Amino acid sequence: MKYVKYAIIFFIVLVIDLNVIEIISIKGITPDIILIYLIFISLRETQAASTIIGFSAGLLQDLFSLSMLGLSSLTKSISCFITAFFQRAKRNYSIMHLTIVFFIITVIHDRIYQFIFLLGTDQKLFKSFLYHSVPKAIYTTIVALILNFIFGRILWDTREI
Amino acid sequence: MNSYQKKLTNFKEYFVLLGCLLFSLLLIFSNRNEQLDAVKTFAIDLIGSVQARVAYFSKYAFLEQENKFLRHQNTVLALENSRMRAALQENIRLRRLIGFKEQSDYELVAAKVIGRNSSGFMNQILLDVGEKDSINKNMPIVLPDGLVGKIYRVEENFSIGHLILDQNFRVSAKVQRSSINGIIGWESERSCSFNEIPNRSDVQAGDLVVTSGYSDIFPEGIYIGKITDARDTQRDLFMNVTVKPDIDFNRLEEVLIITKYNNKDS
Repeated sequence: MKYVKYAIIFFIVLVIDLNVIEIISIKGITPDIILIYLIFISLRETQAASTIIGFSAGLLQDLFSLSMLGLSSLTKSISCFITAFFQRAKRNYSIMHLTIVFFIITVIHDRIYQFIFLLGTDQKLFKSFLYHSVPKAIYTTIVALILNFIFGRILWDTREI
Repeated sequence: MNSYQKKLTNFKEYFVLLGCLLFSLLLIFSNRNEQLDAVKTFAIDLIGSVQARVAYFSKYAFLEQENKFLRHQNTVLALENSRMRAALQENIRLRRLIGFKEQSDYELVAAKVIGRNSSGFMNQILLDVGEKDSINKNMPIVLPDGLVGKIYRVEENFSIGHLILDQNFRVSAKVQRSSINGIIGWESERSCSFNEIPNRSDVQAGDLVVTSGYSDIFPEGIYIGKITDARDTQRDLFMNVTVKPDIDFNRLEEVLIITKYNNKDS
């Protein structure tokens, strides 16, 4: 039942990501709300479950977006796997802890995604890190903290949803 | 439980990750596989019909801003229109005088942008026209403000276009003033790089860049953008040239697809 809820919420997040997220884009940078959702899940679930959820969500994102099949499933699996290392007992997450997690995971996700996508091309790694990955990570972290402020009580409820 | 099983359980997470990574890599390397293509086509058709409905509502978020912009554009265009009419008359007279062969107009199909996928280096749009509207792969996508991109994938009812700010987009172009040729490619989410231009070429900031017509895909003379930076390099043979398109790619709602055109020389 828990996983069905995850899936339903995921499809809502996916539709928002594909259709509405452009409204809040700043200079072409949008927050990665799918990644935010997956990080929240990974901070609740076991590492193995998080990895599989990340993989499945990435695969669906690849299918329904116009991107390369397999790329999001790979980056999302790794992101969720790493996120699970930041888990704390009793889901006791401070704002600082969440800020660090969201920022680091978004940067890692974006770097792996860009690196694979741009393989075989003249990659401007530092430039894209500075002008894309960092602003995206900051924006994603801010949105994640706002969502945490709104939904925090449900998210970090120690009982299962 | 024996020690072998215990070890396996201890590293369960790593095996799961390895499995996910291997499967993802397999998918990445089989992106051209026909069965996968069929699955992707089905998914795009599905999401296309959802996005067509959602786009209808989400466009209202931009209405006020768009209204303001359109009123301003209207004034600018009205002034420009009167000047253009005079120029057109003069142009017709001159063409007849010199005996220039009249260049055929493009055949255009209008399309609505119903989806967008952008992430800095990847900029694609989902359009509500497809095979049934005679759209084919590689057809140029344009706007009155210049080149938008090209069609790279066509389904029955939908098609996907690469914008000129997509990493996979290339177009042969030239500087309008000096006719220096080069290749336009991706640089960032807001600008393109103009490559293969030898150092000390007659290229400067402010120059306009248009398609060169040296390909079967794009007709000659479509406006691409303005050069914002042009510098010789010390280590390389080629200049560093940045081109900024005039089109606001974040606000694309409708585009035109050139389905047929005649080259000037043909």
